[in-house]
Order: sequence, then C-alpha cells, then structure tokens
Amino acid sequence: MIEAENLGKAYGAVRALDGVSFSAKPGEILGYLGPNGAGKSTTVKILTGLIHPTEGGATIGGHSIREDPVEAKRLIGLVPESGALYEALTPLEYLRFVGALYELEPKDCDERARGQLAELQLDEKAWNQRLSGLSKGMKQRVVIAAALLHRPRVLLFDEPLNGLDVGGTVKVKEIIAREAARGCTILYCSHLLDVVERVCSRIIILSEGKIQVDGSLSSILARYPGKTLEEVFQELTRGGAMDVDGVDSAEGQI
Amino acid sequence: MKKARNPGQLLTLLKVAILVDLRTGSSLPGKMSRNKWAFLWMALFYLFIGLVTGGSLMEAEVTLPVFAAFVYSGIFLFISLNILIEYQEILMSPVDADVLFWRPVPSRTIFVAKLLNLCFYVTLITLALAFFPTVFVMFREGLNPIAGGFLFLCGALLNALSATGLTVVIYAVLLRYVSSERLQDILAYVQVLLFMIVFVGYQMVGPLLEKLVSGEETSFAVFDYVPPGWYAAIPALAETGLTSRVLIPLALGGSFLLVASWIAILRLSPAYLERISSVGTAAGTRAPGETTRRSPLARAFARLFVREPIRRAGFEFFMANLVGDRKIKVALLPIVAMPVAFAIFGWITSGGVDPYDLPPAESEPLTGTRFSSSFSFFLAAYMLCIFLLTLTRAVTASTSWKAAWVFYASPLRHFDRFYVGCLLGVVYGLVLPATAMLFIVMLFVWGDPFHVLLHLGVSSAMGFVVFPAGMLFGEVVPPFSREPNRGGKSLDMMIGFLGMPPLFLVGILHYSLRHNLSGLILLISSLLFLGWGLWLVAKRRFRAGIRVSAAG
Repeated sequence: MIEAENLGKAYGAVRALDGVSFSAKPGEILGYLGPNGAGKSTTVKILTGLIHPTEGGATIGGHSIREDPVEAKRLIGLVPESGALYEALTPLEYLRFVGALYELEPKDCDERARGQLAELQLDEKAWNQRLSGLSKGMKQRVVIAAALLHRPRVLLFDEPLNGLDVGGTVKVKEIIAREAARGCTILYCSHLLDVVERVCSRIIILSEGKIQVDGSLSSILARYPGKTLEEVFQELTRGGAMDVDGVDSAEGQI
Repeated sequence: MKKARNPGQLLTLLKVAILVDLRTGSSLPGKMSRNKWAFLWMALFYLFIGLVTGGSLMEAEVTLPVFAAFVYSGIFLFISLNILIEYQEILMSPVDADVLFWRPVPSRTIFVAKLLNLCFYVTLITLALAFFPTVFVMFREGLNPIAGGFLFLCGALLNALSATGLTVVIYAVLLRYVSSERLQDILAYVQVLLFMIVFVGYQMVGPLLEKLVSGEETSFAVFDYVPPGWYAAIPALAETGLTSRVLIPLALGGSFLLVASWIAILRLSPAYLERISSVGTAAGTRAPGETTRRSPLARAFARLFVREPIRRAGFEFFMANLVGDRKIKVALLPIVAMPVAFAIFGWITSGGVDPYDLPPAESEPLTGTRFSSSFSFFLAAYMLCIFLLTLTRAVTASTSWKAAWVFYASPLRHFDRFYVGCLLGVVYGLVLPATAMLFIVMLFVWGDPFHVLLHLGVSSAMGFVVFPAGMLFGEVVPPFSREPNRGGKSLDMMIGFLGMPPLFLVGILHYSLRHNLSGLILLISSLLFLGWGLWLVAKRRFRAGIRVSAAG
C-alpha cells in the first residue's frame, strides 16, 4: 500500500533523507523511529505530497504521489505532529469542512463526525465550541477524528499521543489496532519506544536520513542479544549509519 | 485522473477561509472579533478616502472618463498597497499546509480558492473606496443612477481586479521560478521594491489632482497606457454608448485581465501546493555560513546602551527575530526602505534642489515642482515618524506568534525592562539604519553635514514624540506574540494616516523655520521635552499592562 523507493531530500547543503526505501502492506503497523532531525517528518511530508523528494519517489495504493497526487491523497489520513486545525471553527464545523473536501454526503459526514467525536471521548458540550477555546488534548482528538473521517486506507501518525490523557491514549491505541485489522496500512512515527513496542508489527529506525534497521521487533532484538529496543535505538542512532551484523544499511533490510 | 477543479471543494474552501478570517481574534461565539473590528475601521477609512478623492474631483473641469481614470488610479494603487502589505499572506502563507495541503484537493482548486478569498477583500475595499465617487459622479454627470452608477462600480471593480492580477502574477512567478531556500529573501526585497514603487506612485496623485482642480491640465496622456485609464471607458459607455473611443481601451483592459488570469491560474497554479510547502519547510533551514552572532557594531551598541541583563535579553530577542525570521524582516524592512525611497525620489525630481537655499516662504511662496521636490526631502524624514507611530503594533505581530507561548508560560518579573531592551533593538536595528541612510542620501545631495544634521534633528525629535505616543494606543502585548489578524496591517496604515496631520503641521513649522537656527533648536528642544513626558506615561502603561497580561 505504501511504496517508498530510494527517497532523498536535500535542503540546500543539508541532506534530510538519503536513499530511504521501504514498503508497507495492508494491515501492517509500521513503527518509524528516529531521533530529532532523523528525517521522519520529511518522509511523512513526501508521502503526503507536501514536498517532493529530490531523488526517488513514493506511491500510495499504486498511485504516484507526484504524478497522481489527488488519488493518492484520497487514500491517506494524517495526524500531523503540529496538530494544525482551523481554530476559529468548532469541532463539528471542522469535521464537516474536512468531509466536504473528501466529497462525503453531508448527512453521512455528520453522522460519521458525531460518531468519531463520541468514540474519541470528546465531551459533547465541546462539539459546538470554538477549537481555540479547547485544551490541547481535546484538539488532538479532533485532529485524529478528522484523519479517520473518510475511512482512509493508509494512516500516517506523527506523534499522535501528544497532549492526550490516559483514556485518550488507550482509545487511540485501540483505534490503531482496529484500523489495522480492517486492512489499513499504518505508519506510526514516535519517540515513545514503549508504545511502538506494543503497537507496531514492524519497526524502522532512521538516523541522519538513512535507514539503520528494518524488521519486526523480535528480529531486531534477536540481532542484539540481551538488549532492549531502547538500547538498540541508542546504539543505532548515536553515530549515524553503523555496520551491524545481519543488517544491510544500504538497503535497510535485515 | 480527476478533474483539476472541483466547484464543491472550491466553495467549501472559500466559505471556511472567510469564516475563519471573520472569527479570528475571538474565542467566544457572538463576541465581536478583532478581525471584524479591523474590517469595520478599514471600511470607514476607505469610505473617507473615497469621500475626499471624489469631493476634490467635483471641483475639477474634467470629462467623465478622466474623473473615472483618476478615481480608478487611486483605487489601483490602494489595492496594490493592501495586497503588498497584508493580503499577499492569503496566497503566500504556508500555515495551511498541515490542515489542507495533504487533502485530495487539486493544487489549482486551492490556488483559485485563495485567489477568490483575496478578491473578496479586494471587492470590499473597492466598494468602500468607490462608494462616494460613484454618488458624486452620478450627480455631477446627471447619469442614470442604476446604469451609470452600476457601470462606474463595474469599472472600479475590474480595475481593482487588474491590480490584483498584476500583483498575483508577480508573486506566482517568484514562487514558480525562485528556489525555496532563496524565496523568502528575494520576496522580502521584491516586496519592499514594489511597495516603494506603489507608495511613490501614490504620492504623485496629489500634485496631479491639484493640476486638474486648478485647470492647469484637463487630462493626462498616461491614462492611455495604464489599466485605470482603460477601465474608465466603462462608465463612459453610459454617456456615449459603444464607440471606437471606448472600444479600444475596453479591449486593452479585458486582454490585460485575461492574460493575468491565464498566467496565474493556468500556468503557475499546478505547482502551487508543492512550492508553498517547500517554502514553509525551507524557511526554517539556516543557509550555510549564516551566523547567529551579532555584528561587532551591535555588540558595541549593546555594551554601551543595553547593559542591564533583562534589557540585554530583550535586545538580543528582538535582533534574533529581526535577523532570523524572514517574515518579520519583510514586515519591518519598509521602515528603513521607505524614507530612503522618498529622499531618492525628492533628489531625482528636484535635481538636487536644497530647500534651505530657497528664499523664505513668506517672500516667495513655493509652487509646482520645486515645492514637491523640497517637500519630498521633508516627507522622507517624517515618513520615518509615521512608521514609528505604528511600530509598537508592528513589533507585537508575528505570523507564527510562537513567542506567546514562551512569554505566557514563563512570565518575567520585569517585563517592562525586557520590553525596553526590545525597543533599543528597534532603535539599533531599524531607526538608526534608516536615519543613517537618509543622512547619506541627503549629504550626497546637499553636501553640508551640519545642514543635514539640523534637518534630520527636527524629524528625529518628532520621532521621539510619536514613538511613545504610538505606545499609548492599543493592546499592551509582548513582542512577536500577538495573533495575526486579517485587516491588522490596514489598521496600522489607518493609524499612520491619522498621524499625518500633526506631523504635517510640524513639517510646515520646520519648513518655515528653515532659515532660523535658534527657532529650529527651540523646536527640537520642545519636541524632546514633550517626547520625554510621553515616554514616562507610556513606560508606566507598559509596566502595568504587561504585568497584567503575564499574570493573566
């Protein structure tokens, strides 16, 4: 469902991504890890068509994000890192606006919007209040609801648990598992390794724009006997690309 | 592949953009938002400008097309100015990227929606500017109120859309062909250059209007070559019907609008989303070799005048924003560039005439070009004062307003000291360079440094008055932490215009005292004394105001 082929992105002299290739199948939850500045957000921006790579390309559901951006974007739901919203709108108005952009029928959109907000446990009193007056966690719930509204086939989460309380965190993890079970491909970017360990079926660790390791949690830990994911993460991201037994850095595959 | 435009998406985008604009500045439904106030003030201001322009033309012995061309010229310049200082943000801001740009909406649809959003404001401003001239022209020419008035307004709108088209094409070409890393810088300089051209163009409206009213001229050849002159043929239809004299300018006007739309919408809009997103991403990338260290001059200034640590922090904060945030640079650069543009304009039009060498006003009143030229030298210095009047508001605004989080999350105990440090940054980063550049231009023209110092002394003293005077109005907000609002810059422009009459009076006094050294020194001293008094009041207001904000 997601195919990234030799992605590279340079900002002037700075190389944010360098030869990143991976694919993710329907139903897969791919944890995309890396320290600050590793290239996670750049990858998400390329996959969502916000920026074009300087090398390589990506497809979503077989549609090139560069050649056929509208059809590729139709399949995507994104929870961006910044949680950007139009804060002058109310949650319901915002979701109706998003629904209209996906050309959902107004009645159907309204039902879905109410259903999503209720599922994400946003207090019904807040549904018609301006977003600017809501807490960060409440806004994050609206962002997640907006990403799920059109029932996407690919979900990209960039630190989705930012600002959420325990109840919200549990609910989002449930939603991720349910969406994956429905056949949705999920790319999950985060710094929270314990969440990634529990939620993701496969993990990619990125450092300095290059894939350091790509595999299931058990296969990665098997290469580093006696180490936790956190320790592996620290080792792989400390000095950029490292030669690790059994890991092909260039291809990023175990 | 789906079609490149979707009317449903287009309408949704436009509706939400306007709704968001009107609501921004208030979190409570039913409460009048800051944006709505700004629009209301702006509409009243432009109605007033229209009243003055239309009223002045009522006296002139000119034909209907010349009347219309003149009114349309003013509208053309005002619309261009508004887009440059404020509404270009609709097209160029990357803040929509996270909300909108990854949705399945074609680039062209988003571009057209933004263009229509821009046209919405252009229409509002045009209607406000053209309202009184339309009423006047109907009375003056005895036109049919419906057909005549309607045609006059139609001409005004098409003329305003041409100004919009021209500006949008310039922005779109830059967006298309300049690299993302360099775009913000190039944009800053192009914007300032266009701003200077438009503003200086607007200054020429006054003398031309004078010539029409005095009967010295009945028309201007330039109207045959510019859009306001072409669209002036539309109201003429009500008088003459469709004749060849009307047909040619109409064809020119229509072609101009079509070509601008074709370039902007068909040629440049497909790459719009990717380019704007790239600009947003590249804006945070520091170019190789770009340094965060202050220059030796800045360090010396800080050592001399900004020693106290909290003040120093304010100074460094302002300088870091001015140097590092290109949007802030774009917003504040006109403060340096405009006065210099006026001085150069005065120098070119006068051929280097020194107003101090001219005989005293009472023995030989100045008229025509000589007056305009010498006036430009005075205006150059007073222009800086007009900017200073709105500077307190200008340094509070920021597109990202991220500084708000820093200030409100960890309020400083001595915010007033921090703010004074910021103001010293303003003096070092903006006022001193502007004054120095004016000094250089005037020294080059007049050749006598004492002469130039005395000339700039009066306006600098006036700046010392208007800066604290500007701080007495509006909200007390920490620097770069005010939420940006549509219409805010127009409001600043209005405050600047309202500040013109008292500045003009001081300017006249300055001019009439130009041969009286002791009079000039007395004027400077009085202004400094008045400025010091106002500064004490302003400082107290800020000390109390910012403490309240921080506590809140």
